[in-house]
Amino acid sequence: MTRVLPSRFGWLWLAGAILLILLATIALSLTQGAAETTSEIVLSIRAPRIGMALVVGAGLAAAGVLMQGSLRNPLADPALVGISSGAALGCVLAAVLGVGFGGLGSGLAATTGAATAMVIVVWASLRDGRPEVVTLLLSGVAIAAFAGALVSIIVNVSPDAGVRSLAFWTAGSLALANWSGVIAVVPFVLVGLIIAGTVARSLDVLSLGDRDATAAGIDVSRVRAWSLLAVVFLIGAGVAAVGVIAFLGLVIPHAVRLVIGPRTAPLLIVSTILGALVLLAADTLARTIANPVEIPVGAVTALVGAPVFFLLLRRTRASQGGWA
Amino acid sequence: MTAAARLIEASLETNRVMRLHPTTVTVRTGAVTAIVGANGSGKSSLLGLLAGDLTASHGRVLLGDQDVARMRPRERARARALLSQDRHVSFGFTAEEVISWGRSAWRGSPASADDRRIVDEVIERQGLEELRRRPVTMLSGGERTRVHLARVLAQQSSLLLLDEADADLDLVGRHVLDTAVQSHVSAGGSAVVISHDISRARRTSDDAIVMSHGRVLAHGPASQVLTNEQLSTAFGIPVDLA
Repeated sequence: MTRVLPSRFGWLWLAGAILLILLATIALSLTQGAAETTSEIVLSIRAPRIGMALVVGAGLAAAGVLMQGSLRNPLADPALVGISSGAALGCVLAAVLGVGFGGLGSGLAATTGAATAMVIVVWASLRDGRPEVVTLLLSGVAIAAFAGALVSIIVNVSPDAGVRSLAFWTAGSLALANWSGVIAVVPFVLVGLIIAGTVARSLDVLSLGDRDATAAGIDVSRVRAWSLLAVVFLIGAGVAAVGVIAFLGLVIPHAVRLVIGPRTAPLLIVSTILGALVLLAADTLARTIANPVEIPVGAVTALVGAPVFFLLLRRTRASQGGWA
Repeated sequence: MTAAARLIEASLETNRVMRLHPTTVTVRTGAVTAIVGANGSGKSSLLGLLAGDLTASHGRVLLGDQDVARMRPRERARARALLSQDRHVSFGFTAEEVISWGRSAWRGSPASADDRRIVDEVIERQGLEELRRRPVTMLSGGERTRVHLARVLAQQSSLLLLDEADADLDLVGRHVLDTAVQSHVSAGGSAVVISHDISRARRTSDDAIVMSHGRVLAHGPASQVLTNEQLSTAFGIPVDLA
């Protein structure tokens, strides 16, 4: 697999270009919508929604980079291995208990749910202190199904109309975004990104495998634990705000890696910006394409993400025989 | 005689199988020590214990005068460099990137200021200029081995532990490997190498350890230990090396 931008700092150009497109998309998104564009609509409805898309998209993509790097597997994705479903379950349980939805309490509950799912999935796959990736992915599938089922049951049978209204949210939607929600999510994502920055260089070395990375002087368990903790921060509060959005964390790091190579630090930076852009673009499409009806943004990301992922699978199968 | 590393009555048992019976050996400083023996005779277990990569079930392992079990991964990596048999790298990092990981243990220390120079020097000395910017996932087995060898050389640890580093190498690769090991030892370092190329091991090593069924059969100067008689006992077949 040869990179498109082989030079050491080529990624800076890409990051700059994506940033420019991002600004243009923000401008476009502010002016498009079902309602007439008034300053009231822009400031209190579209702007926070755009802010939420940027923060959550950035978190999802960064989490994908960390999971793939720390588990040495390109299939690792927070939604795929049940972390996002764990967060959703935590959030819904909190809503049932009357914590409310979309604020800091809801974010904390979702983060706890994500952490619990992460602990179970990693624990199930441990052998001699090292996670085995296929077991991890498969137990993640089970956790995702289990937590997803609980969420769906709770949302549907709850006597509380507020909880029942979360049905739309479970498919991934930014329709409920407001400024207080954005402010609640930002600190979580920031903490996740800061932790990610501190482990980035060590994560590169993990590509050698646990044994050789340890022999090279890396404290593998520590680096992996911090990375997965960062994932929990990056995902939890975001899920509380917008529900489970699949494929973003999986596809974006992949696509970026093809262009700039696998070094974690630049991969993290470019993926974070691209994640923000893609979720914003997807959400802008979701709320304008079938105007005045809105489709869930999770449906848009899956609709685009799944075929892209399929192409990546075919490409990897052809060029290096697969991922196993 | 100063010791680069020592096993003191160290044994290794995994899943109730004795990989290495209690063993006491001393690795000399400034010498190349070859470990030879049949598959499953305990060579990699011995090397893994020396590296601190495996933990002894009983007994002690010293790197210099420090107990390897009490050292942090970073301290161990500064004291010894290990080339294992696993040459797999996930994701297409370039050869240069992989080699630079040899400097991980020195990050944040004064020695880290010279990282770039050291990596460049190793690449030049190992003749890897052409591979420098290529993804390691696209390299042949032998090329990949040479990249990993360069990585552990860049680690600049005084004890070099090589597990079948010569397995995938052609004649040129083996020559480069032998030269690197020799110059490491002449500079005051030590090396322990596992190899199935026994005639070459006899030529290029100072000491040798012959292993069989998880025990050390013989340990001493290579010319005295790597005899047809000793090797025939170790491998259980008639061995006739010229």
